[in-house]
Amino acid sequence: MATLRREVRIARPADAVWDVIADAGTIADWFPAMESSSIEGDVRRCSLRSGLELIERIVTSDAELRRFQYRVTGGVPVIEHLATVDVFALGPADALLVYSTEVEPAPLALVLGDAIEEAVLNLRARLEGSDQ
Amino acid sequence: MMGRKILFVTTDQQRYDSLGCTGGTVARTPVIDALATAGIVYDRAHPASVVCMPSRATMITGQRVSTHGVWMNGVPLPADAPSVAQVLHEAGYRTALFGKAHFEPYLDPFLRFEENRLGRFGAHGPHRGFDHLELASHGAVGLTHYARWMMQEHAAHVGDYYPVIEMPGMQVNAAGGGDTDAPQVKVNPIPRELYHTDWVADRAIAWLDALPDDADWFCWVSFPDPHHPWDPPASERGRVDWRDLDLPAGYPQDAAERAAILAAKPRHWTAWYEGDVVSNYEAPDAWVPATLTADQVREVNANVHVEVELIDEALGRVLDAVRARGWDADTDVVFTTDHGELQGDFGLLFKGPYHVDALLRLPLIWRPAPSAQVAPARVASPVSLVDLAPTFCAAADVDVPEWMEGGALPLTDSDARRDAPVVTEWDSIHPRGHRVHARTIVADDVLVTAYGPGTMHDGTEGELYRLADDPLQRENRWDEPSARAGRDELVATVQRVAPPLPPRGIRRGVAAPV
Repeated sequence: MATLRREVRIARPADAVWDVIADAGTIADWFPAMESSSIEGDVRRCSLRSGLELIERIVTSDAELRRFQYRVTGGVPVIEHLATVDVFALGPADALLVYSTEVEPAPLALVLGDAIEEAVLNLRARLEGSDQ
Repeated sequence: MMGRKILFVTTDQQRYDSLGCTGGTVARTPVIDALATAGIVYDRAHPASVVCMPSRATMITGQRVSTHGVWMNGVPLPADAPSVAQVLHEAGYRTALFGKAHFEPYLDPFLRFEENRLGRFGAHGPHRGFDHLELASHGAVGLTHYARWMMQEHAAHVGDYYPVIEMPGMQVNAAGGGDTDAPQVKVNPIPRELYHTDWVADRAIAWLDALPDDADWFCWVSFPDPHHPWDPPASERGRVDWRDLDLPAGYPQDAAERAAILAAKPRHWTAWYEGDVVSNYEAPDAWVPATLTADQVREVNANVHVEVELIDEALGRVLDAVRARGWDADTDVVFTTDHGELQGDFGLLFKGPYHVDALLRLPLIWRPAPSAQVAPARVASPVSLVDLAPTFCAAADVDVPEWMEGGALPLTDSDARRDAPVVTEWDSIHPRGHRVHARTIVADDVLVTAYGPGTMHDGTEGELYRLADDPLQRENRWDEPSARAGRDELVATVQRVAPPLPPRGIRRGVAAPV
């Protein structure tokens, strides 16, 4: 099992960041190489440009804690996977987003880590560039 | 334009001693041998790295690893990185690449990299200065044009190849096959005409055939073999019977002798041999080199010889196509590979942070365009693959950009640049956390490797071999007092030229294991 963690400080209120994370069906708007995403019940489907479709089960979406968790259950050859996205308030207009992942097989962590890094940077640019 | 055309031919993971013109006695390579007879053979050519992506990044950029920043497999070369293909394109050359590129990671489910997008959607570029790309790798799965063609036209044969990566563990496969259960060996039922070697040649020939007569062109023909898996078409296996092969000189047949030789080297050698530590992803995680048998060494070598013969024949077809267009007199041909293969030396297979001739010493042949009237020669002085890109510029009669760090290959030994250190770099961080850092330099018949601090070295270890006295690099003289002064001077040079890997956040990120 490999673990990885990517974090980014975002100059926006934590609740504004959380709103984007919690709107789980719109992840394709900020995660790289996703063509579309949709949600039905606790299952999220993300269509990748490669033609793969990631199937994910949402485990936690806790607005109080600002914690979102999901498991990849299909589409890529995972043995185990758990991703956790936490949004912490650093100040009234300043948040820390922490995107952690545990994954087996371990080599997949490299692929996910680099993509997640691009994703969180995209998200920051998107949020900081939006109307305040 | 009617200048010199450039045919750049690379293989993957091929040893110096694999060709007739460089001392090989098994594989028949008349096409490459003829190029050697008419051209310049470099008998001490080293790569900038002994794994694919960093070495290939050096070929295209003309820069050392520490400059282009692709420090291990899985680190993508930025799409806008310097490219000799771009230089030639801007000089009016038609440019193309066929076969294995691998400037960007293969494992790419998010399709973040252009090479994979081109292969996935069947597009042909442009990319990195190449007008046209048709890509292949070591099998028929993945995001390459070859895999797409196989899936669309010959789906029944997609599964013929050995699966390089095992699932679901996503590690390099250790499963054995063939007659001896050797790792990464398989009897491949694929028809020869569908095998990737011939596909690469076919696609290059089709592109050349479509060019106008007066075009100048740079065509990189990049064969994925003889890199493992060792699974040539079954129809060709009869060319070399492994039972008839002598064991390679680099394979100590006595197990106690092997252990003693390895024990005199830095500890990661024995640690890998005994299965305690696999320091890099390129070797199967589940394979223990100490289990390698003499017959397995023979069978791996036999398959390599077969694959080398197929490459030679495929290259012959490409050269025939060049001749048929009347271009031969004005065509430079450069043949080399990205790095070597242990292939049984020291009882090991594959590659890793083991900077000895098996991995470092490469076949490199430059047949200058006959119209240039360059005399055939053999060059013993060390040269580096960092010199390839400037050589292409010289052949094309364009200025060598300042960002290239090498110089055009020498035409003779007296022409060799004594002031250009020939350096090979290694940095790796294995998914399990093992870190190895090494810097190697060859000069004055001495091969020196200094290890930086990592998980298996404290920064004081090294290797020093006197190549003339010890061509198999069995006696590590790093700690000999008489060697110390010269050793320290070479270490200072290599550390100046190739500084340590920058810290995380500054160095380029790893986007995939390979």
